[in-house]
Amino acid sequence: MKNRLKVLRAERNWSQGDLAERLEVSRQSVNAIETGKYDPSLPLAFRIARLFNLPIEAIFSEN
Amino acid sequence: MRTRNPAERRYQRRVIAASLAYAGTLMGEEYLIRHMPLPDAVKFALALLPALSIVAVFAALGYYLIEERDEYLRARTIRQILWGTGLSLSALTFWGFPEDAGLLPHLPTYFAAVFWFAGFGIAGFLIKALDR
Repeated sequence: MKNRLKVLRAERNWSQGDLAERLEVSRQSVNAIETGKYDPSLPLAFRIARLFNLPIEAIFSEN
Repeated sequence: MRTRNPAERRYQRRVIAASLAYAGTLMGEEYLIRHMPLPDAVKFALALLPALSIVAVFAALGYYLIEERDEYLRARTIRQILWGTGLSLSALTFWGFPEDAGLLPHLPTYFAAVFWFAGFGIAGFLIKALDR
């Protein structure tokens, strides 16, 4: 699964640590999701979408 | 290594406590069994004490998986456990057949835990390196 997390984070000038703090996850989690090494669960994907005020499909895509 | 993650902190504290208990019970039971005229049932119970400390480490790992709120770290630890289990079972299987043929010395069964901890450690190192 692909995602635009890195771009969305950069647009807000947030570090991985800043985003991790806002999502209440580890910095390693943010890094793993951004690099496509880990696909988040549906509840975490919803949390990410809520934080960026976007629908899930605007952040995550199948390919 | 110090960590801010509360689940990891509790895990580290539990493992340190279990390790200290292991060292203490191992030295205590060895001394008592070798130097005191005790009935076999008491010796048996004493000999189980270090094993309980090892089991406590496995329990600490189980509690960590229950208490860890970060789903990625939890998934990574589960992957590490699976790889560690696979590595240690493979190593023990490879040891067993030459041992049976008289080509390697006999390993006491508690070495399963030693192999598992080694496998778990190697798996952790490999997974962290691959995820970097």
